[in-house]
Amino acid sequence: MSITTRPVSSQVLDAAIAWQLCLDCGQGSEAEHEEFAKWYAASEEHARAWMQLGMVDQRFVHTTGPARSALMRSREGFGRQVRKLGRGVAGFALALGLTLFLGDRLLPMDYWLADQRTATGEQRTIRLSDNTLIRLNTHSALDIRFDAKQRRVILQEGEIFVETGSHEDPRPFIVETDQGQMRALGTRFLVKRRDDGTLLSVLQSAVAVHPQASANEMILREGQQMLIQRHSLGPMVAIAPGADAWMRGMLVVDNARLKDVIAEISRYRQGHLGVAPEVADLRITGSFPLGDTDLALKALTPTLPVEIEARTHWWVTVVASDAKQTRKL
Amino acid sequence: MSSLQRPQHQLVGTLYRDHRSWLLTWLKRNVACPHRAEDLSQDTFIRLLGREHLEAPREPRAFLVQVAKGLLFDHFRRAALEQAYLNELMRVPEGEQPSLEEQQLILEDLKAIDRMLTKLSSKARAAFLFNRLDGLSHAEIAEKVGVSIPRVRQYLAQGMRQCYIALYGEPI
Repeated sequence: MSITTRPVSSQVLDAAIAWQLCLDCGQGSEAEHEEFAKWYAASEEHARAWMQLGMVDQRFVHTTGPARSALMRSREGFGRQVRKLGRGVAGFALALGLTLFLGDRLLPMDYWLADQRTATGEQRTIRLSDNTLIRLNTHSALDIRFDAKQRRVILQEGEIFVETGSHEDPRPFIVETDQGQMRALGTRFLVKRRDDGTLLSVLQSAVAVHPQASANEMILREGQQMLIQRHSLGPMVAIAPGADAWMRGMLVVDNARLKDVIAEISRYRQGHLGVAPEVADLRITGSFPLGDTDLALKALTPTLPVEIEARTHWWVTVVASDAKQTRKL
Repeated sequence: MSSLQRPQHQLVGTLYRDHRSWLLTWLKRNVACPHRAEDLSQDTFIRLLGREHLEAPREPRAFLVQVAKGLLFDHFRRAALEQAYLNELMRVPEGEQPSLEEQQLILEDLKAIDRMLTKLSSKARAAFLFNRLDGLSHAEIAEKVGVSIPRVRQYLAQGMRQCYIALYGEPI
């Protein structure tokens, strides 16, 4: 190790840092400068510490423009990634002191951003650079790819509400999933990933849609809904009532099968939520609060011959009401 | 004695055999790129092989996840920095962008700086960067970061100390 890179003692380092802070703030008086000169000359180690600290500054000399901004901002991206990590591992995000919540946050977003994600039970609204509003429902993941030719968002998981912004923007606004591509025609609409495909519901105006594996394009108009699969488009049907109720924190169902309602509620809830086969096909109509899924489950019991069996908070099953019960919720 | 090495290798071998595919699934849930997840799962076991002391963990999967998380955090930190840099570059007119090679060099510099500052809190990191990159005064930083001026000085001292240690090692 050369003499110039050998570490100094902790005390000398602290003294050198204190001097740098003192002289750096521009308040160093003449007397202080003199005193510093004395300190500097007093020993080889002092001079070495000072020189070494100066070398640290050299590291930052080229960090200007984009590099500077990147360094200032990189922690934001890191925070997003860590939140994403919390999605995969229950409790881990909480251990980090980051809380997941259901709220109405509106985050102004920059020109370009990637990987927007919500945790289970969380909803979030983001505003894109073209003023488009996107609301992510629980447990959803979205990539945003804007460039000179197009405004494209890719829904990887979950559900979004889109209200397109600037109508003067010449670039087409496209929502993409594995199954299909949806081009907004100045509009408000919902896109939801399901096991059996992508469900598109147009709330206002119109959306042009084509499946990924075919150029066959159709236009879906206000009040219409369609299931998109990779190779084909399903029939156009009227939007289910309450399709957008989740934005108000409610699940609204009309004559729905219990198993579908439970599957829907479980999207907002950590842990296992199941339904016994003998009651899975019971029909139900009503509205349920999504912010409190325990309450939503309780609301089932007066109207259906079921009860809620909770082994733990993380393992809950809806069973026929005569079944042996472990612990009532 | 060669048997000093062996139980450790055997242990890592067993962990690998029994839990690698589980760990890979866990990683894939948390990392967008499947190849990256593969790399990270390999790195996890390689890191274990490099450990001086290794006892059979009572909860093997929790243990593996703990090791993998450390690697994931490094990965996220680097990825976030890279992404932030690319995002910033997109604001620069095309003709004025650095060449790909220059971009790589700049990124390497950035990663080196970021590593130096790993141990700082986000406020300390921000304070230090405002000072070094933008030349802001202590009072300006105090206002931006929302802390007192003495606290800013403390942050700056921490930053300098961390950078010093990264470059020259612990003071003696």
